[in-house]
Amino acid sequence: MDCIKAHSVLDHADSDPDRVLESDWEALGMHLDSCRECDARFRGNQDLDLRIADVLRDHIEVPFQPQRTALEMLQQNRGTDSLREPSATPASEAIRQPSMLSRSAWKSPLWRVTAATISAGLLIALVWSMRKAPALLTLDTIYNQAPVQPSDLERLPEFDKRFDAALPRVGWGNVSLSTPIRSWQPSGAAGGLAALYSFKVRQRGQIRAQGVLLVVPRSAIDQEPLETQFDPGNVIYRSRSAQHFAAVTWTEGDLVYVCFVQDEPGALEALRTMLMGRAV
Amino acid sequence: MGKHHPPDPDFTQLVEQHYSLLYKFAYRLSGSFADAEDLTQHAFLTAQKKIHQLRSRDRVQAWLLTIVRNAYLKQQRRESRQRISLESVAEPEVCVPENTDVDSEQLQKILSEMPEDFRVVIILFYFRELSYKHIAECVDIPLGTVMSRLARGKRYLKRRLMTECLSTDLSKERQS
Repeated sequence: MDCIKAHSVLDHADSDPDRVLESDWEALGMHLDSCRECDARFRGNQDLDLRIADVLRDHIEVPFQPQRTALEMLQQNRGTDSLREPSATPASEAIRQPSMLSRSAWKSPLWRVTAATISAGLLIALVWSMRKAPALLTLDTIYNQAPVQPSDLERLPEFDKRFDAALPRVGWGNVSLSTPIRSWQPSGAAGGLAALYSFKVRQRGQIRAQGVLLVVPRSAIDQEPLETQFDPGNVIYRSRSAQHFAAVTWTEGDLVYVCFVQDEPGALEALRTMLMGRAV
Repeated sequence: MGKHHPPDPDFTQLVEQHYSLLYKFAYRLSGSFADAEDLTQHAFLTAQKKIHQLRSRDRVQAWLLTIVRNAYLKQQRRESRQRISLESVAEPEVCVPENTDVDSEQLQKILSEMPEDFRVVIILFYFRELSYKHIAECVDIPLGTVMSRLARGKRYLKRRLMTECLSTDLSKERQS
């Protein structure tokens, strides 16, 4: 189906969907999965459609405790799960394979050279990975160690601008940010330096949300997040020393952002609303 | 045919990455926070037992959503809830102005009244997480049926929102 036909079907879809043929619906679905413009037309992208999508997905508070309970139950069950059934794993196949080789194959010079080359390659890769790893910061380290509330930043040094710690593209100009920008490095071995902003969202004199926005170069992160914008639908909840917080991560250009928000009712929603430029 | 090597995910990461979306989906399906918690927990426990069925990590989100939906349907069957079609539900003949307000509770009320066949695809559509093809796989219906239900479901949803808005405005006027 081309775009012209898709537009025709979409017009009927809106006015009289009963007249659209089953085959046209099928073709439309395939076309919309590959054509952004036509998909945007189907999704409406008018204000009402956007508001329905927004409310449907984001106007729900996800409680922290049930998630913790689910994790605990999974960990309890882990001892009885059947993840590693020997008959289903590649490891069992690997164990079987050497018996398929005859003695003469092992003694072959070609085999010895091949084995030596593979071993050398593995050794080089191992040494290289050991050299490389300490330079990379993991998201896990950030969740476990980074400061998560504004008061934690006061004791940190000022950021030395070793990289351009720009704010995210959308909405952060609406949020009240404290200066100066601080810098942070994880304790122990690995990790580059990150820049930290503290922020607060106020409504009628009351703080509705507060937290810390961490910025780090993408090149310094091990496995950057796949999300490309602030999305409270993809949130991680953690606790540390009786502090409960939510973390939202995303990658924009050369930077990775981790937004920590204190886990208070309505806080994430208040921040999201402020970023969209609406009154909280 | 190549050998199938199932992934071995870290379940903590699985929960952290997907809990929120599953919970919201479960809530919009069931209309109940308590059911949403139960359905979400059930989904992760089922995933833990059946992880070998997952073909690729790329599909984990669609797979988890399918588990939630199937669990919800089982629950519906146990409670012997009668399924009705959208055609049997009267669709208000109103034009929907673009400045119609959208209230979360009103939206949930309309969704809860919608037949489950339409409710699931509408929720997945507005969540914007899956392609139409993946929605079809998740709900186990042909792609053409997904599109047809979406077109009808969207139209119904918007018109019901308008009607709800009008009713709210009228009752406020009467009270004042």
